[in-house]
Amino acid sequence: MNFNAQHLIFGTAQFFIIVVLAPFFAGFIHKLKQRARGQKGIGIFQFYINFNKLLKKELVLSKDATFISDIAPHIVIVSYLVILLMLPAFYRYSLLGVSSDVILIAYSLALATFFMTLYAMDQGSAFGGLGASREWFLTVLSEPSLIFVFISLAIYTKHGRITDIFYFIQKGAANAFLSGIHSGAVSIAIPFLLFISLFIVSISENARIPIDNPETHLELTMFHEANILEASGKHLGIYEYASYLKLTVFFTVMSLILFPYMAANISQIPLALIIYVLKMIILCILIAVVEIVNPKMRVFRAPNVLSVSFILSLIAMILSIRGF
Amino acid sequence: MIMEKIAELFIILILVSVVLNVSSPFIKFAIKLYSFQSLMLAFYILMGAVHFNSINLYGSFVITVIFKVILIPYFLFKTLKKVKMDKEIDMYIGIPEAVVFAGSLTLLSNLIAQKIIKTGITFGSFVFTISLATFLIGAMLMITRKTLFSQIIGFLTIDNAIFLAANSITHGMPLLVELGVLFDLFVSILILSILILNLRRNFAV
Repeated sequence: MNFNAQHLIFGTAQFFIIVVLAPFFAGFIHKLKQRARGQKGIGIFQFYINFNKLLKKELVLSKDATFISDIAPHIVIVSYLVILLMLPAFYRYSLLGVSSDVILIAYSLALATFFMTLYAMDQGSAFGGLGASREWFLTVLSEPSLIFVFISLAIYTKHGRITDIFYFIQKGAANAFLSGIHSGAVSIAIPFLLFISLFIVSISENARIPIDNPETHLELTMFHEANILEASGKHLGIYEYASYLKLTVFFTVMSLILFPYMAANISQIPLALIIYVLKMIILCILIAVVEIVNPKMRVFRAPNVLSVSFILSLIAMILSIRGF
Repeated sequence: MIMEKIAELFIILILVSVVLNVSSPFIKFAIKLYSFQSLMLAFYILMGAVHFNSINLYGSFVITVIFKVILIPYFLFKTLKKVKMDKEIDMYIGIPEAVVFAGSLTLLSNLIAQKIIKTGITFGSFVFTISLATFLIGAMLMITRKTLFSQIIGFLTIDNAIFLAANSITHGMPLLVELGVLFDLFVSILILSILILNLRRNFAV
């Protein structure tokens, strides 16, 4: 088989596997939370059924809606799909690996949030503006730490593309732990700091419990939900699928920072896929435990937590500049 | 090589616990964090003991666990129960500002450590940077907090930072010196708790 054809086939397969698995991870977290509360809980595959049902339902738009409402959901989901095309989740040569710059990834996430808030305000309801304002309140606080995480990864590994970054970490870890070769560039402390920082950011960005509770529709607690309150039918389905994809993006980056294992040829792919799913399930359990243990935080306490995340990524950047 | 990197993880956890201490307004959580921080310090000393195979460092590990991880937090919790002061910590500046200030102190300590290492004194450069940052953040905790109880946490943090720096320079202090320092700290904590109790009784602050 031609080498480029192999990249094309396995890169495409990787992309589709991640996209199909995304609602499963969200459903798994939901199931764990419900079992911990003593409820019977929905099935793990309930979110697939919901998506299918929503696609068939009628789409209702406000009479004030402009063309923004038509394009916004698609831009939101496409920006997450583009990021997933770049991430080397378990196969090293992802489809868009050549152009997977870290800054591009950070700003694709911001683009999605921008269009989601535009959609919220475009409908002309009072809740939309409220939700957009709250969403940006959190995003502005978590954006710096996200950018710092990516930049310190780039400085730490001296590569700009995310595929090269994770391949560098994998190679360094394999050299240090398996064959004991002395290489000064590998560190445990920096990935660990970045992991904690990214974990806090992912809780806030994915509307998880200490910061936000997406299960309720009380106007006091709505962050993420207020943005998509007016969405119905196909648009709601797309938004919900986009939120699962966002969760998968964050989890994949976290799992790659802490334990990168990417297959380079066909024989390693089954093992790499199994390890990837295991890592994701462990992260799901971790975030479910955080959600079960903690109560919902006051809104104005969110800057305390997010500033910790910012400072930890700053410390990681200082350490990677010093070259520890 | 791997040992060194795992030791770096323990040191980083000390700094993370101090930053969390700045960000959290709860006293009980702060005492628990101090206990955790001392445990990480003890593990760091234990790794040094395994590496250099020195009996002094093993002794130092045991003493640190007994005094800093168990006894001092125990007495602090006991005092807290007697004072019945389970409120949030008051600070002169807001929490996000304090955390960002702690980050800039880390930057500053990084610059200072680079200058000092250039002079040729053989410091472990990573450990020295982190211990300097921990020292400065502990000092900031003492300055910015309003009540005596929360200032004690800052004092203990500074003590941990000095302990860390001392362990980075030498292959462990003589056991007698370390015992003396720890006993000093323990007595000062006892005196401070009595002071808090008496202040509470006489002035009801």
